[in-house]
Amino acid sequence: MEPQVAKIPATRLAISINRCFLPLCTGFVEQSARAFGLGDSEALSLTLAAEEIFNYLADGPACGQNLDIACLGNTFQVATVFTLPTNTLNLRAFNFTFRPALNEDQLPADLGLLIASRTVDHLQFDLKAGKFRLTLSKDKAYPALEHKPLLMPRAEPAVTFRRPDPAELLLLLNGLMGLSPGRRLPPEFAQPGKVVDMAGAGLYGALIAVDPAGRLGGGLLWRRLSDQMVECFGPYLFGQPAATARSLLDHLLGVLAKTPAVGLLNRYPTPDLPSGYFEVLGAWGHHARDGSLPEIPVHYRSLEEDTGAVAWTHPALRAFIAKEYERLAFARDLITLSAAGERISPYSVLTTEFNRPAGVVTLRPIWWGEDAECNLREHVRVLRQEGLRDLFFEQDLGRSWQSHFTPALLAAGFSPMVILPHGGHGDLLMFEHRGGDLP
Amino acid sequence: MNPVPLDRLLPDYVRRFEPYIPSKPDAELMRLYGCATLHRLNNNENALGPPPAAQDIIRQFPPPRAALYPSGDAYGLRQKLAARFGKHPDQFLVGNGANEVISFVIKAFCEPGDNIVTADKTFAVYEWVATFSGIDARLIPLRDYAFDDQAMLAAIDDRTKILFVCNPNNPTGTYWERERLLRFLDRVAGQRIVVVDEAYCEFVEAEDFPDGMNLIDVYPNLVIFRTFSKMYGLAGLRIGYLAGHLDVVNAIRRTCIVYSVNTLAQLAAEAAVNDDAHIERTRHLVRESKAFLREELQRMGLPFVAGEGNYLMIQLAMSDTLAYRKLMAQGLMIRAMTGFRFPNWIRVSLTRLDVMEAFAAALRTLVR
Repeated sequence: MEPQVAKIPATRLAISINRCFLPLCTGFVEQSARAFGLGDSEALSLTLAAEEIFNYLADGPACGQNLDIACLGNTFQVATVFTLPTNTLNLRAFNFTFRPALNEDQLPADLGLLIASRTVDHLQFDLKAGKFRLTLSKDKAYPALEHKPLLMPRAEPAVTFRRPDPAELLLLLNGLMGLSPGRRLPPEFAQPGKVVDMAGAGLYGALIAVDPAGRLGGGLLWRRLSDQMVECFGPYLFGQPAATARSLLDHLLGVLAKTPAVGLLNRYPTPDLPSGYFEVLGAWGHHARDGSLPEIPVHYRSLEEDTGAVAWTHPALRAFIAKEYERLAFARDLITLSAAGERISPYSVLTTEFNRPAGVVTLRPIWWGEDAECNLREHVRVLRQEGLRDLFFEQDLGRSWQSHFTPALLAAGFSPMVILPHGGHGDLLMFEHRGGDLP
Repeated sequence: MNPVPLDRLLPDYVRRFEPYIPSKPDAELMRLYGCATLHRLNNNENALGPPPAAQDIIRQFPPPRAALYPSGDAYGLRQKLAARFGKHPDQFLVGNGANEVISFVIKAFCEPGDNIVTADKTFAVYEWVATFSGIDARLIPLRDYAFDDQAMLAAIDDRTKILFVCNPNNPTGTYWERERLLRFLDRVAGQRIVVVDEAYCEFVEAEDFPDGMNLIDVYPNLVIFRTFSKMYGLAGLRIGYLAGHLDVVNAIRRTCIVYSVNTLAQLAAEAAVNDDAHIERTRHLVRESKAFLREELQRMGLPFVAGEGNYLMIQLAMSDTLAYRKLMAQGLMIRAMTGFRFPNWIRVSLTRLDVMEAFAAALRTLVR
């Protein structure tokens, strides 16, 4: 069985969006953050971000609306979630780059969302069932991993594959640093205590390979990205034969069998990844701090017999998408988007997901409009200025209207890189922004 | 309109259960994958179809009879089964495929908190029905591709109600010989229900294969499952049955849905049940196809497990789900085994020789 996600303790506040309630909002967030165990500095950061968001809402798009604020206390993180109905909202204001029109005597309150994002680790928008949700998350402070290779005791070939206890998981994560230096690891792994806490909360799964004497020979971690998609990390081996890597993957696939997961992703392939288990969907570039742009192969495995799907495409990308589907042997009904002079909204809306520790931003469309190209260019400009190196755009090929963004994306410097089967409502086409003024 | 509060209405064990999505109809799959023909090698159907007498029944079925309810408890078929196996007709319960009788048994004996014991790599429906009924399914790893009797016995506790043994096992084709099954039943000592699923028993030619029907009198806790879907070629009509000691069957009858088996299925099964010549013809076909495919696989250097039953398993040096897609594009539908917890294995039904030849040719394109 997969790990069960633990129930998350929460506090809630329901208020109207009005400046007079600002102290109530900030007091609630700060007290909740402390109660959930954030340290002074982190609790203050989250409170400042909440203040920025509340001011932004009160000054503009949602003034007078009802607002629900919830604080969720994971063991490793506190999240503050602002939820408000969308029926009277101008969603355009939730573009990250939105600047309200100001009178000359007003102070510029623009880019409030961006300012808020600077003080938290993750910021995410989503739109579901008529509700707009903005989530700010601040991770607890964990000591960084010491960059001293840990000498793992030499293990005999592993005979047991099982879930680790917290100490064993910590040992595995520490042991990863002793593997070949420079190996690309998920940024979270630099804080093993956080990963252990996340595993305790059911957000990471892990398996270890153990020899007859109980010595650790290797391991594998995984994390659910959505109901349908799981990402795995590893397998990592400490002097083990290749069969150990295969056994670790076989065990993971056994865990995932008969679950809702239809795809297994591996974006951090290791030299120990056995052949024949994954397909290479393609590659994307990772803008490294030294200025290089190494290509990162994206490994994927379908967990089920593929039953086909509809994929929408703009004419400009039809050839690319058709070729990719043929190369990957995915049967799809490819439908080319057509325009018949219908009325188009003047504004587009994008949501932005920040992963600051990883330097990654993912843009997702929630509304198509005529200003798509300008909007995208402005997002790129601001995000590059913010020092964010890897910019992605997710286009859901199962949602026809999202293909309208294609010409704007291409013009704004995005390139289609990888099709991720069943990554969204349908398949996801991942665009990456290349070039521009990199930080 | 307010959304239905499914999170509140659904029991947790149902909410967490992933529904099984069957494959699309042939015409849709052929259009999708762009293939002119499609050979289904994924469901272990009988390429010869139903026995001739059953085919006559199907051809001659009078349409007005479709307006009438069937026999609610398959009265006629139970008479035939009783005569064939030397039992009382009430020792049989007929269901809409053997899948339905799995539900009958689990519903009759288990309540939330109870558990069943079976293998991790076997016919999945025992585990599914238990799981979405709130019953713990204890899945014991196979040993040498076969059910591990000792580990199954060790997994029994106070809340264990049923042990499911698939004999021969789908998908590995391994089986417990008579002595091993008897030892197992002796150890259970009548304290739990032991279900032996013999869906593929008619394909087995080994001398030491146990006939569960003959053991019911000695072991009243033994329940046997059989089906008309495989050897008798009636998969499309959905009919299977269970047999057991009268007291046990009467207990299961409480959770049995009557009228669930249609008239045509009952009549066709009645016509099929005594056709031993059909069994012999089918065995001959399977024997021939198995020999051919074994030779081809050895030539390709692919490991395989070819036990009893009209199927075999092949290990690939690639993802089985990728192989599925690539074979589909060539008009051949196999079973990808990741969902059976056999990653990188496929299961192939043994069918007509010309289809096996087409399959071998397509497989060669994947392994070269």
